[in-house]
Amino acid sequence: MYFVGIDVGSLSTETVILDHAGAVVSYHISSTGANSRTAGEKSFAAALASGGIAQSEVNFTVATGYGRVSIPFADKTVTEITCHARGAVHLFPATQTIIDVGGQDSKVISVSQDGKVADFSMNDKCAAGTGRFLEVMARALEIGLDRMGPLSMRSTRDISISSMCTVFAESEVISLVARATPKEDILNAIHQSICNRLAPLMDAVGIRMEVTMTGGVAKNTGIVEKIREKVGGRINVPEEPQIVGALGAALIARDMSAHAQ
Amino acid sequence: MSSELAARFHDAIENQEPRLRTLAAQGRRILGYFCTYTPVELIHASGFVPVRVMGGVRTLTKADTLAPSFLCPYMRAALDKALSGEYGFLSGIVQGYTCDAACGAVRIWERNIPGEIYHTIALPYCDSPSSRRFLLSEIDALTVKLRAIGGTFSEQSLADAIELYGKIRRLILKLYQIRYDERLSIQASDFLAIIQAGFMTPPEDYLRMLEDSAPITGPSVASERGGTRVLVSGSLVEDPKILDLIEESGGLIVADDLCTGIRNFEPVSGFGLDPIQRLIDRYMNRAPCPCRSRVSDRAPFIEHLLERSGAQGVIFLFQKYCTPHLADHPSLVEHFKAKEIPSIAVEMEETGVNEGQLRTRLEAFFEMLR
Repeated sequence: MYFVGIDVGSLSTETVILDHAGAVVSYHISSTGANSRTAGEKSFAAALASGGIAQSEVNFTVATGYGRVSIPFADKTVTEITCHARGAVHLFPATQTIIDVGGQDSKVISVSQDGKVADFSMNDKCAAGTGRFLEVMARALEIGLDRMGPLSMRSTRDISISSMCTVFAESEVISLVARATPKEDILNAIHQSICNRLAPLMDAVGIRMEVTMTGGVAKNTGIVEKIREKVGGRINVPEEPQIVGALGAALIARDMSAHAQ
Repeated sequence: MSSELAARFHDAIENQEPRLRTLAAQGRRILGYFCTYTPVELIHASGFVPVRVMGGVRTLTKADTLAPSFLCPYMRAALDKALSGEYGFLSGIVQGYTCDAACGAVRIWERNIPGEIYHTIALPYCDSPSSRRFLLSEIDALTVKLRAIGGTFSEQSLADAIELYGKIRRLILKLYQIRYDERLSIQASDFLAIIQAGFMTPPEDYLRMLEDSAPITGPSVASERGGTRVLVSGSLVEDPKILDLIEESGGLIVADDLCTGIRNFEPVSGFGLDPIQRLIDRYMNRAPCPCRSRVSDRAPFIEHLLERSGAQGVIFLFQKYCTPHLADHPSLVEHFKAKEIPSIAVEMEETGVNEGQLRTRLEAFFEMLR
C-alpha cells in the first residue's frame, strides 16, 4: 500500500509517494503551467511510473498547494502550511521554525513541541521576494537560477535594491546592468531584498531554533546564507527542498489512512 | 444552509435605492450617517429617516480624484456611490465624530453632493458630569439645525424613538444569544444581511420585519453546520463573501465585534430621568470602538464575547488603511497571544479580497486550531 502527496504550486507541481513504512519510494517535480488539474495528473502518473507502482496500489492521496482543489482523485485537501510543517519536522525533528519560500508566496511557520503548526505568517497580495521574483531577476541578468547563489557569494560590494515591487525592482536591476555593475553584486542585493521581504514575516511569528528552510528558493545558497545571517544560526536545508510540501501531504495521507482503519 | 429566513432582508438591501427614492418622493426626508455612534434616535425623533450610508464592493469610477487611496475602501466606495447619484434620496449627512476619515468625508460630501444639512456631532471620550453637559449642548445644537430644515423634535418623539430602537436592539440581541448557543440556522452572511437591512430600512418597517420573522426570533432550529467557532472583529464588513469564505474554509462565526454587528446594539438604551438623559447615557456607554476607546477597554469586551460564545480564535477583518483598527491590532494580538487565543488578520479592499490566497490562510488557520 502506498500513500501519495501532491503539491500543486503556482510554478511547480510535486508528487511524493511513500510506502507503508513512510519511506519515499518515488517523487517527481514538473512545471505547473496553465492547468492545475493536468499538472497534478501528469505529476502523479510520472511518480507512479518512476516507482513502478500501479494506481490501484495507492491507498490514500492528499493534495496541497494553491491548486489542491483541482485534483479530483485526492481523498483530502490540506493547506501547504500544514504540509510543509509536517514534512520539515519529519526531515529535521528538532525543527521549531520553517521558512518556506515558494513560487508566489512565502511563509514563516512556527511549530509546537508536538510538531503541529502553532502560528504562521504569509505574504499577502504581492509576490515580491518569492520564486517568481527570482525568475524575473535571473532573466534580467541572463543567468540560470542555479547559478544565482554561487555567483552572489563572490560579491565584494554591498549595494541595495530599494524597490519591493518585482516590476520596479527589475527596472532597477536593468539600470544597474546598464551602469556595468558586476552581476555578483546585483545578485547579492537581490538576495538581500528577498531576505528583507521575509523579515516582517519572521518578526510576526518569531524565530526559534532550529530553523528549516523549504520550497524551491531554498536551493539558492545565496539566499540561505542571507537568512542564516538574519536568524544568527544554522539553517537546515533538505536535500530536495522543493518536495517538502508534497512529502508532508504524503505523510498526512499515511496518518489519515491509519485513522480511517 | 441559505436563506429563506433571511430572504426579505436580502431583498431590503438589494432594493434599497428604489424604495428609499419612493419614500423621498412621498415626502419623507432621509438623512445619511456613517458611524453607529450617530444618535439615530435623535434624527428619527426630529422626523427624518436615518439611513446608514454603505459603500459596497465596486470599482471606483468617480471618487478617486476626491478620496485618495489612503482613505478606507468604505469611505471611497460610499463617496463613489454618492457621486454617481445613488444617494440622491438623502437630504444630507449627520455623523457622530469617530475616525478622521469619516469626519473628513462629511466635508468632502458637503462640497460635492447637494444637501440641506452636513453636520458632525462631537462626542466626549470619557464619562463625567461635564462630558454629559457637553454632549447635551451638542444635542441641542443638532436639534436646532434640524429644526431649521423642518425638523419636529419633541421630548415625546424622542421617547418614542428610544423605545422603537430599543425594541429593535432587543430582538437583534436575542439573535446573538441564539448564535452564541450555536442554535442559529443561518450562515454568517445571512446574519449580516439581517443587520444590514436595518441600516437602510425605516425603523418602524424594520421592527415589523423582525417581529414577523418567527423562525428567527421564535424557537430556533438546531444548527447543522460544523466548523471551528470563531469571533470576527473589525469595523465595517460590507461584502458577505468574506464571511462565506471563513465558513467555507472550516470556520463557524459565532460572535462578532464589528460595527456592522454587535457594536450597533449594545447597550439597548440608557438610564435617566428624561428621554434626553437616557439618550446621553446610552451614547456615553457604547460598546467600545477603537476610535473612541482604549485597547484596555476593548480587549476585555472581546474576551467576554469569546467566553460567552465559546469561540476558539479571532479573525480580524480590516478595511484597508483603517488606522484606528490597525493601530489597536498589535496590542490585541499580544493580549490574546498571552492568553493562548490565536488570531489572524485579513485586509479588505473596495474591489473585494484575493480569494485563493485568503482561502489558504483561513484553511491553515482552522487546521491549526483543530
